Amino acid sequence: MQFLVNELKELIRSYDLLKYLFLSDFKIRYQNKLLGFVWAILDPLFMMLIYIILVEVIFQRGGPQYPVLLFSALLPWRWFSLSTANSTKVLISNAKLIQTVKISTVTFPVNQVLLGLVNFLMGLVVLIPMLFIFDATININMLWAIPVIFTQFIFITGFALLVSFVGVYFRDLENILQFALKIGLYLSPALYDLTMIPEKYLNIYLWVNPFASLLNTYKNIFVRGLPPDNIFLIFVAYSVFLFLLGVYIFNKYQKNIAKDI
Amino acid sequence: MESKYIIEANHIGIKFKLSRFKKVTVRSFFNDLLKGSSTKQNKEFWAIKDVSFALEEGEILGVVGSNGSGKSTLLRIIAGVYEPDKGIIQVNGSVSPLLSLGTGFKQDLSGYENIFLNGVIMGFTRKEIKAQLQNIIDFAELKDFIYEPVKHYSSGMQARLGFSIAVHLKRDIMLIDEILGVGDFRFREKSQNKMKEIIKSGQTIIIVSHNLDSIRQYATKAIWINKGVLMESGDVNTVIDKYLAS
Repeated sequence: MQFLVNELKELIRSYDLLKYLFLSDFKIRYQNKLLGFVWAILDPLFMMLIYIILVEVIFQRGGPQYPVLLFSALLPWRWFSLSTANSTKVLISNAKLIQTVKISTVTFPVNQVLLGLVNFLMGLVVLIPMLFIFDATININMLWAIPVIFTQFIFITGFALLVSFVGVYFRDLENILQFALKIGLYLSPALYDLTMIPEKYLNIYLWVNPFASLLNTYKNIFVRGLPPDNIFLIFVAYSVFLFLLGVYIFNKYQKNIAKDI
Repeated sequence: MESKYIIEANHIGIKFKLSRFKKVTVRSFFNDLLKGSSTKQNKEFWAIKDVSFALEEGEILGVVGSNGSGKSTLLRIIAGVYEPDKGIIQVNGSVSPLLSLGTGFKQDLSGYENIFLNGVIMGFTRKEIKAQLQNIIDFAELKDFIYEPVKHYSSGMQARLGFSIAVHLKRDIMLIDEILGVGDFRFREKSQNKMKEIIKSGQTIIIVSHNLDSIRQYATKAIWINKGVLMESGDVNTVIDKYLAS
């Protein structure tokens, strides 16, 4: 586990760098634009509206809580897709800097994860009134959101480290990932409910797609007032594995990045 | 290991895979698969083959050589960006990297914010930057413009800010690529004077410049690199004369 300690030390050493990278990107993205903050919320809202029209109006399905169930699953998915999509190119687009300054490359993908997290938290500002409007069960189990968000942070960080590293060597990754992320959303229980998966496929579905258990857990915590169940452990296992793998690979090969980029 | 030198390089070399210029894509991957893997030949290219030199604190080293001789690769090794593949380099001090003036400026952010961003990118802490903040702003003569986004700056203003950051945030060893000043006539003189002041202050400096006159004027020793090999080192005028005669 020495690699974990090394990488953590490096992040602590680069605290100021990470802080200013984050603040600059945050300002450019939100503060300097007239609708900056509004865009962060409008985007998932529009996405939700399209699906509501499709499912509730056209297919006449969904049920009374469909909008809030959908939104509580779209938000964590967006965090994942934004952070990973941006991480694939983050090292390449900073190539010039990486080749001139001895800089902690790990801060670049971690910054993208944090930016995605902030985007997610802004989305919660919209989710909370929706919970009341759509009569969600609000109770103490909602506090489970904190460890669940933390676990997702671990998952996304591991994934972001991996894709940012692989992106240096495999330039098509960005295109492939964009495509995969689009399909990934439909393969995860955001638009539909986990209970709609046929029984005989349910087990394999849960094991193969970590987002099956994650999105279902978010729906349970926010809307149904239920704590995470055992299947959430699948997501925890994926998170720990991806995180360790991402950190290990970064720790071992980051000295090559400047040369190979 | 105690050393009287601030930088000591012993027969260092660095190689690059030539295939790094040809990035792997889905298409190239399948092409190679069909043709029986052509990227596997892994041609290597030694950008630096064999370079040794030593520098004492307070010395000013001029590095000369034609384009593509490996000068900037050498600087990147000194800055710690690359690790040499052979030989040993010991740098007993911190290096302020050679950021071409204004690299890393974010156009949407103010000059003030860019000072901090540039500073942390160069590896300084917030505290170190804050200590120099007023000096940087004053020297760049930006006054109230410092709170305006950099995209509203003239090129001269951006250069002034970049120069001011580079000369105020410095480490034990400074890497610079031109001694020449920046901006208009007046500021050029001011920036040249600032450089001379730093040179006289005993700062260890490595200069890479095509302006051989400035190297003759300021450097205390010089090395000449050609195709990654050290051709000559030692007295500035001797090295430059040999380089010019080649």
